[in-house]
Amino acid sequence: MRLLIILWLSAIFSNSIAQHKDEREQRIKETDVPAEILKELEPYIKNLKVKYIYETDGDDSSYEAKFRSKSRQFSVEFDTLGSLEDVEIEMKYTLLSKEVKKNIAKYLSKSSSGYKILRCQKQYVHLEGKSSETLRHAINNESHSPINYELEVDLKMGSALESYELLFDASGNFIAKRVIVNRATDNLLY
Amino acid sequence: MRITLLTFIMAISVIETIAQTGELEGHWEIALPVSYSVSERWKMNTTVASRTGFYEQIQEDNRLELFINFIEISQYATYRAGHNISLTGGYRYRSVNPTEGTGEREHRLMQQIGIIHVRAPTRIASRLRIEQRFRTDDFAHRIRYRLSADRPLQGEKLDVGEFYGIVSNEMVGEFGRQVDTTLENRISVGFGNKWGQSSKIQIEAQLRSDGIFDRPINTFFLMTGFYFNFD
Repeated sequence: MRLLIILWLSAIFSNSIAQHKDEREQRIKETDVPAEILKELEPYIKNLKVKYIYETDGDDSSYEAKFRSKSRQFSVEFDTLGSLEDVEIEMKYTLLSKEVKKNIAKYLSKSSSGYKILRCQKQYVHLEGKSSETLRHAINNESHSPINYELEVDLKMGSALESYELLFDASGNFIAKRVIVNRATDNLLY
Repeated sequence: MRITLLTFIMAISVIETIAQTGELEGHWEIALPVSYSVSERWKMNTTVASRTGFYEQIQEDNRLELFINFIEISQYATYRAGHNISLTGGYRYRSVNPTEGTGEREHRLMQQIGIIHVRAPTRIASRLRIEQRFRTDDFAHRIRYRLSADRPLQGEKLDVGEFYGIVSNEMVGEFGRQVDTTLENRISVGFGNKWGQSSKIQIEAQLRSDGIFDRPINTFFLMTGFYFNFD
């Protein structure tokens, strides 16, 4: 009996350790944001309410500025040296082109027995050239390359119910996925 | 951080004790809910809880006295019917006034549906529960509905060491042949802290108003929950 209890507790604890993710997000003040980042954002955030976030994921760290402009929700991400990484803008999934939606739906149908798209973001990736150009393109909704689409999706895979963050390219081809760990609902249910 | 929290809990409990004067009654409930997955869709929850009452005793020295209202253990089995819907069945055994040795016991069967309406960053959830309450001298049906919302207070995600706020309102109706029909409202406000990767502590102040259509009797509760969740 004692052995059974020990095995049961071991299974529970090993399971919880396996799911541990070293990801952390912290709200910070504007004064804690590197000056280069503030200078880059300055032309676009005048009179806007901006939330600054410092994020760490394993060895990677980044700064994120979130604000609403021209009725669109922006999330601008910089590395710790102040270089622009990408700009994400929330959008309705239904506004994606028919071809892109077709490719995304094809991937989702292939990898699950049912799905629900919860959130869609257009991602302006900054790879080279002036970062101010990428920012301007994103803010003014201008064409840019490369562009990705990031979706938050509930998937039904066999009997499992999982939530993922999926990344697709401008044509709707799958690039990468990441599991979303939803907060435990025990305090809301019991 | 943990020491600060424990100090806070102790301070609150002392304030709670001092507050018990006149007709005001207060209670401090401590719960230890432990949740664990047994399969991809099934989850179990075992909760041990105790409620301590603080009453002003009409005695020679007029001291505040403390006694245990009840000690209970509950076992729930929850089936995740969808991403946002869960169905739960449960059983609770409660020993009433255990320190007084009155021998009163209660058995309770519970069936509930839980719905998460909004998931992030603010979560809004509904819980509809029906209960059959078997006590030593009577039997009662209960129907209760709770609407709750919680939200991280330091960003959009809840990381270890961070706080969240929680509010809820629950209506509880009780009826049966051997009991008076009553309707109680329970409004709560509180906060929690994600203590570790699989644990959190939650503290709520709750006002229960019994007999809301008549002359309500108000009672304050301090609810402390130490949650452990092993998915």
